[in-house]
Amino acid sequence: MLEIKNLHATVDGKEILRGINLTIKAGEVHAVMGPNGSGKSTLSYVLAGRDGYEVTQGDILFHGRSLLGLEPEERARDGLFLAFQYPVEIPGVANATFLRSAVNAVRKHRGLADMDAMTFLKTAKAKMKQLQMDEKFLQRAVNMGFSGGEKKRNEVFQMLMLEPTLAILDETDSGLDIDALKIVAEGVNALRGPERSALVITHYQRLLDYIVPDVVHVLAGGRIIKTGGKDLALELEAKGYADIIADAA
Amino acid sequence: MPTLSRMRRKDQVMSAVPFIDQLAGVYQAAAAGLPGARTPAVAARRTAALEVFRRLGLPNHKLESWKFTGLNALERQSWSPPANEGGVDAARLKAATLDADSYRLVFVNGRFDAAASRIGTLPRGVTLLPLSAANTALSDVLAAAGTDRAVSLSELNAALASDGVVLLLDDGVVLEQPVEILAFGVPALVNLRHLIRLGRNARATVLESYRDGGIAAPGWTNVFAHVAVGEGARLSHIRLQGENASAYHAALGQVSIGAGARYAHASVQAGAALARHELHVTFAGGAAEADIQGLVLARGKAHLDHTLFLHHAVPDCRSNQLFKHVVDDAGHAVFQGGIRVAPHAQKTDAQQLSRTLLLADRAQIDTKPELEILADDVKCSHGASIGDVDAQQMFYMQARGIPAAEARRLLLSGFAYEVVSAVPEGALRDHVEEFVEVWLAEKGAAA
Amino acid sequence: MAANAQTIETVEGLAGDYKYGFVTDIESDILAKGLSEDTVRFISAKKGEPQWMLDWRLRAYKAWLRMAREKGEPTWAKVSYPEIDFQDIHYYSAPKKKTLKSLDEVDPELLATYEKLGIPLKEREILAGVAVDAVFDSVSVATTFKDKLKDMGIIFCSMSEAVREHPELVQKYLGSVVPVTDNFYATLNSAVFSDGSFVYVPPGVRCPMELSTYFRINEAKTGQFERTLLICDKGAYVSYLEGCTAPMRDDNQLHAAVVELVCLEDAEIRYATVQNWYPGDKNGKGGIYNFVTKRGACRGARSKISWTQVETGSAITWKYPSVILQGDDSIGEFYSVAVTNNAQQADTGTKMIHMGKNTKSTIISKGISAGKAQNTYRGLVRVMPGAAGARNYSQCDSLLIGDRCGGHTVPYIEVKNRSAKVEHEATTSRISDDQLFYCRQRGLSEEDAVSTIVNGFCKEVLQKLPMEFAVEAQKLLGVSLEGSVG
Repeated sequence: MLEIKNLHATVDGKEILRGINLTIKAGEVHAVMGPNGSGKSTLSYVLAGRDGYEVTQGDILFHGRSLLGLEPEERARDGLFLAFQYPVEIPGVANATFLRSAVNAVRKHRGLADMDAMTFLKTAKAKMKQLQMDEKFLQRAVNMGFSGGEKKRNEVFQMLMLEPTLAILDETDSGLDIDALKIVAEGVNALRGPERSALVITHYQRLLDYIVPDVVHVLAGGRIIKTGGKDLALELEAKGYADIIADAA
Repeated sequence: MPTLSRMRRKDQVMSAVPFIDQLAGVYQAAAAGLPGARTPAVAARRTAALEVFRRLGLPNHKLESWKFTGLNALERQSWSPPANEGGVDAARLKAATLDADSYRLVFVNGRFDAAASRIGTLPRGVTLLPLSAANTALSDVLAAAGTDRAVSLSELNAALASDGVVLLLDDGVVLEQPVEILAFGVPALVNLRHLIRLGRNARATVLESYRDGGIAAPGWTNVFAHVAVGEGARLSHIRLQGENASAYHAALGQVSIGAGARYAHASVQAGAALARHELHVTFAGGAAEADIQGLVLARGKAHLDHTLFLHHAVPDCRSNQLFKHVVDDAGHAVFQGGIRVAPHAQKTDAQQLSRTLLLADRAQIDTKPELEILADDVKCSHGASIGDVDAQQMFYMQARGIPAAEARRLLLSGFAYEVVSAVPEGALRDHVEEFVEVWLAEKGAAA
Repeated sequence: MAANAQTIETVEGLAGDYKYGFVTDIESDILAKGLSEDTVRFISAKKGEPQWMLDWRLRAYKAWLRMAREKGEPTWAKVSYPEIDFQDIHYYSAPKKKTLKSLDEVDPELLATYEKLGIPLKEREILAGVAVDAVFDSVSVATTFKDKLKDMGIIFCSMSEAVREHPELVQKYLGSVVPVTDNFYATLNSAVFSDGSFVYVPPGVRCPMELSTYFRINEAKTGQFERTLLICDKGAYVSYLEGCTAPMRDDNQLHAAVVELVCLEDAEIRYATVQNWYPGDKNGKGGIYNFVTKRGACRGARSKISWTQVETGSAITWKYPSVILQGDDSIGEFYSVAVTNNAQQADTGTKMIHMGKNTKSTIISKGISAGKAQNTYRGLVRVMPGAAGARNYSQCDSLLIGDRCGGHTVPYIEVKNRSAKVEHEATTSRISDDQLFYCRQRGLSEEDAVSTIVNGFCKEVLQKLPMEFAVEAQKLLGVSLEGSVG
């Protein structure tokens, strides 16, 4: 599904990722944990193809094809979804309008006909119910005036609508209370299946109680310094990053 | 049929010609006594400046920047140079001076009044003297402000400037006490010209004050100030205009702000029949800041104008403008605030706000906040609001037992205080606050 | 509202064989270039106008000559273009049948644009109940639904016909809002206007359908000087739409229209424009000079005039749809989206003149500038001494796309009444990289992302348009901004 090979990346000329190797097979959920400034968000932006995040060495293969050189929208249409840590506000654009454009852009790419307004509305309302979101959110402008928790829920809602094959969740747990966290996790779990994978980026182990990963990686200083099973997350929580980093060094 | 072509516009300033001749006469009468009269280069500059003014004439409403303010009234008066005698009485002087240590330069009849002034010993690296004593710097001070039509008044000033202040600070010099420039209006045409130049990282505070000389006959004070704030320097520049109710006052300030420097300006206009303070501010280096505040207090038939052109010529600068107006009786306030962001002046942050209270039926305001933006990564906004004193606030105060007139005065005082509070704390702020409170305490139609 | 060749054919089909003022017995339907008293007499004669109309035109022509001599074209707007040679323009052009047929061979690139817009056939609009008056070059081609409207007492016809059939109304109101000598272009229009639409809605009548005029400049080197006069009598209501297109030409073409609205007691006029004249190519070659005077008078108490405009076309736009709020409690509104891309220049805005008591006005302006374009909002809010209790709220936002364009805001606020309350806000911003990336991460192409964000920026204005036109306008915004990023 996703193969990251010796990935080096710079931001403003500064090297943030220094040789990441990571393989996610279809159906797997991987967690990437690490202290602040370890390069977690950079990794998610590099995967999504954000301008200004320059890959200087290595490659990223998605479904066997290199992502390098693909525009962000091409990656998105291929099934890569990034749930943003800080979702941006877009004044005047209704959530429904925005999402329908996105859904149809992805569908078109997959050779499917546009989803008509009625089907879209029906589907959207069902997914919102699942996430315990108020239907009014459809008519509100994208993320405008949403609380931190509402924004995160909206990200997961978009993910459910777009049905990506690889979901990258960038600190989706931050800003969520425990009830919201459960709902969001249920949403993510609902999407799990043999053909779908996820990369969960988080600072805390908490989220992983609800989205149980197959593999856990520890990212520090732009490299993966340790990889293990779900127990590694618990170990991290107990010992803290400093010890693990010291052990790995 | 021949193609229509535009015919040249007829000369429509026929009536202004005698007026301009009259001013040329003022120059002839005064020339020999003006600073630098015996230096050929200076004399040549003055006659050249007079020629420019002759050619341009007074600015009129055909110039976009003079749309709301006309100077026709000046043409209906006869003008002479100021007399050479007579001073200002002690009480008047005392009331107008700052109640703190300062370097004080007083001008009466357009001339430095040594007796009323108090310069004292200056720190090293500081030049502070009246223009009339600054022989070597004269050509510098009299340099032209520009070439467009809008500079005609400053060219008239260059021709006729009889005195002013030269303040020069070397790099790194910090002048603790404020410099106080105090000029009293007289029933004549007075031209003052100032040069204020701060070197790198220098710091100074300047209070420029134009006051009623006590003779209630029309006078015309025409001021030009050139201000250069060097890299990393800080200048706090306060300007009070409280000329008598029959006076005309026109001033043009040209300010350039170096990289990393900060220029804070507060201008309060509360006097004169017709006054305009025009300020051109240019950012010459990045990461600089300008805070510009203005307050107009107009009553009677006063027409008071603040016109500001702020030019973000380089990236990364921040400017903030706040202009307030309290207009009573048949007063007329004008605010024009132009912000220009040049191409490539990215990361500019320019905010402007103008607020007006109209207190009487015949009071009026004309305002034109103008944004001209040629760079995209900028944060620019302006806002303007016009209305009477807030009825809810009035009611709230009255409900607490405060009489209406008192409530109103308190609200006006609060309204003005936002500008007053921009002045550095201490004697200086007290001085400006008193200047405002005196105006508020006087009776207008609304009281 | 843009339309296409089929529209013209549809309208033509409905109208039959040009019965509204066409003269086909002349050698050419285009009057030779140039402007003189004879030109004015020719146009007037062509239309079989009565003497009073000719006199009115000649008065305007003399006034214009004086203006041209003394001051020339107005220069205060923030637009630049070479001086116009007013002798190098055709002042009258009527389509021949042949010309209309050849519309099938409209520039394929223009047709492609229309396809991209997904413009519905006018046919559909007509079925949906939109009455259309099409002005093709200078002459009104057809007015549909006339009979149905007539039953209700509503007059909707070409200006030429109104001059002949309803002289009392025309004489009473023509030039009453925009005087003959109002400004250079309006005066020129008064002298040489060739046609336009006329609407009269009698007291108490609510016009049941959207009235619509569709303008098109087709001939090269042709000036279009249409004149629209719309009168809404006491308690009446009308919603009016106009759309404009022109084919691509290398030469600049002049469009100097005048629109006058008269709104009597308790009446309401909603006037919407979707202007998509040819803007010229990327380098500024060709395109329409759109110098238009639009003004409404709220004459009666509680009357209301609402202008909505979506301006995406023209090389140069010079236009300030205004409202004179004479009646007490009258209301003026101006909702505007102006998009400039490439080398386009727009200097547009409004004037709200408050004269009556408790008059209210609202101004919402959204300017979008891309490429090397310059976009200026210029507006006047004037509160006269008698306008006690007047209220104005203005909001002017500029959006810049790229670092070579300009967005400018020049509001004039003049208040002479203490009880007035005026508020003005303006902002300038750009589309943030964050917003673009977010949209693209969801699968939108860069251009769709820009279009989505721009539509959001303009939402307050677009929602003032009637539904079907709002959809077109949205698509138009996207098309206009093509190539503005990346």
